[in-house]
Amino acid sequence: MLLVNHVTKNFGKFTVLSDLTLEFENGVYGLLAPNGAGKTTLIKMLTTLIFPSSGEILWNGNEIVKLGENYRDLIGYLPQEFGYYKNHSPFDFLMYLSALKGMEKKAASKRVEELLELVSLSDVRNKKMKKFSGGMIQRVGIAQAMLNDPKILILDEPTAGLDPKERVRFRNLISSLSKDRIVILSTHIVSDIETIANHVVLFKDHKLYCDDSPANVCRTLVGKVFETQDISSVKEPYLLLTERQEEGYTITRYVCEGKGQFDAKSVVPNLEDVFLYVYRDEVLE
Amino acid sequence: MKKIINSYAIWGFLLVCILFNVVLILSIGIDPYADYVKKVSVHTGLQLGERFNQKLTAFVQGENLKNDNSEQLVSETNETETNFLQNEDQKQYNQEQLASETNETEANLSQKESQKWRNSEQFYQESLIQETTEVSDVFDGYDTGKIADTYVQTFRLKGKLAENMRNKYADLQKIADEKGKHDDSLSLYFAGSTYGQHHKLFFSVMRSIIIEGVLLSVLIVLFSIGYENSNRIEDIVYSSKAGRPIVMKKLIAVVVTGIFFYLLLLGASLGLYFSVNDYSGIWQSNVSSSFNGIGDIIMGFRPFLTWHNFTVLSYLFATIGVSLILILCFSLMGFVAGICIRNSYVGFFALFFVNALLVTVTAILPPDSYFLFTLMLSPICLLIKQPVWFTDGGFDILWKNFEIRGVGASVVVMAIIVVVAAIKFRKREII
Repeated sequence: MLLVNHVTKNFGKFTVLSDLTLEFENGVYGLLAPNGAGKTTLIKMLTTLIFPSSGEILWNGNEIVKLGENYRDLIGYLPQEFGYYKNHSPFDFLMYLSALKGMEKKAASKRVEELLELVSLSDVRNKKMKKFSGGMIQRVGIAQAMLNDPKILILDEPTAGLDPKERVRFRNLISSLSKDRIVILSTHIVSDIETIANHVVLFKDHKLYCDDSPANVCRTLVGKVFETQDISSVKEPYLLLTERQEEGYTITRYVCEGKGQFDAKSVVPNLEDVFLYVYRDEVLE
Repeated sequence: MKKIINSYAIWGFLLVCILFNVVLILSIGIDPYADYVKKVSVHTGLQLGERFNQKLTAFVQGENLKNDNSEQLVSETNETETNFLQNEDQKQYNQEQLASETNETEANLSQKESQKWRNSEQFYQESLIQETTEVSDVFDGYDTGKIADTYVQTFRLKGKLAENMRNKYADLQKIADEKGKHDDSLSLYFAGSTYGQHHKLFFSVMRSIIIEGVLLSVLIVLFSIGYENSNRIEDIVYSSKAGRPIVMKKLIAVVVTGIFFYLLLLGASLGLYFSVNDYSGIWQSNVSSSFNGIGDIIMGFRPFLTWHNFTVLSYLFATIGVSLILILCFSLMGFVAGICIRNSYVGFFALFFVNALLVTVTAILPPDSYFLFTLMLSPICLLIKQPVWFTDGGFDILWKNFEIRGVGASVVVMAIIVVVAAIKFRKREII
């Protein structure tokens, strides 16, 4: 178990995360929050790149910084801004990283081939990465995160740059991996978390807002989310969520604390509704 | 190491350094008199004295005899040719006349050139004879105390400083007396061309190579340490099993690589130098030859008195040895700059600035400052002092064997700084 125990992180006088406590066990955890909320800060503390100002992060009861390479050997990390050696091929790059991860050469070679196959980059295994598209680079990033078959897989914005087809492939991959490891996923793409996460972690005002299953998180807005074709007729205060076109009509989705209006349809809230509601700027009167 | 070996920039810089050295060596040129002395030394040996003079005289006489015989042979050959042409058929009179005139001109020209050659060699012979017969042992009655007194008075050194300065030259006096006893200064080296040749090799060429080696090693270190940052893979590298401790493994790799490139540069440059300037026969000459010397604005020109007994060859090796340790010091400096300043370019300029500041400080500090004498043992000041390594070092050096003490102390200090920097790096946040 990975335990974040009353962790606070300050950068000078600015508090990024305040008294955060989280437990991670096997499964997929989606970190959902707007930019600047502290997701990457938490992730960097989990990967020992930065250190808590107070509190501790424990792996099976032991402080992760003190565990040193024994802990780092368990993690696979895809950073938000994934860098690479432009003049390396994906095969060479992954072999280099496998050496850094302490893998034996023969085993690493086999593993690299498997991963390149998994992320559909076998055909370009020897091509220089400076010629790759953004999506291909991201797939190399995902592959390197899984090189050492990590117990804790930490992915920061992993689907950035992936097209819908690749994103679906990625979700299926993560789902298959999550059975016997901890997967921590930080993303703005709500649909990624909705489909694969067992837990949704929301931050607000530098604190933990909620840590629950997607269904339970959505349940907080049951009876408050409506759809209507005529938003102007809504008299009570509401928060505009989304609009879509359907059969020539504009369907507006909104949150209303009150009963809504008689011709509005109450709908099942989804995670995006919760996200927009929790991180709302203002309510339309 | 593989990244550095595959780096076009590093190899490109090495090539530029070698090309610069090629131009430097070729522009310095060859000293024909030095070449002549080297040729003579094979027959006479290197130790000056009565025996040397006898051998030199015999050699010169032998050479002159050879030259006279060959001139006579040329003259006789030309005469026979002229007679032969004069006995040709009358119908070819014009051609014969022309041929005769042409041959005569060629005979005259070859005689003039031969004369010129004889004259220059004659000049060298006479110069060498004069220099080697008139030379005296500079260490007989040599008083190093005068040097100490002059420096102490000129710079108004007091107390411990004055004492240290006098002690240094008192120790040097023992060396001078020993050298006088063994006639170490009565060594041929390159005779009258000694100062020029010594200056060429150790002041110009070696200094250039060492400075280039320092720059190369620092660039290698900064390039390697900053590679992850410049390619933005720090997050992956430092969160991997290898983690932050990988920088210490890198240190070993970059130091080895820096020395490897320095040796390449050294080999190529000295290889060219010695192919152009033949030192064979001269290697065993003593560098403290009477024909060699150093100077400063206070004492003027004085003997090249080394703390240890060096031949030209051993002095070269000693210089290379100290230069290797100096390059290690600069590599360690580069390492500290690299891990404290993540941007390699900024790190290089910071290092340059710090060393420039050190040099500036030594220029403006009062000459009676103990701090000045301590700073003179810093790597950058040792680099500047390279041409006088293994000598007393002059008025701004307070201790004997300053170059050994300096590189030794610098390595220890830099090693401590490296360890502190590495410990701080382990706790540094990678944002």
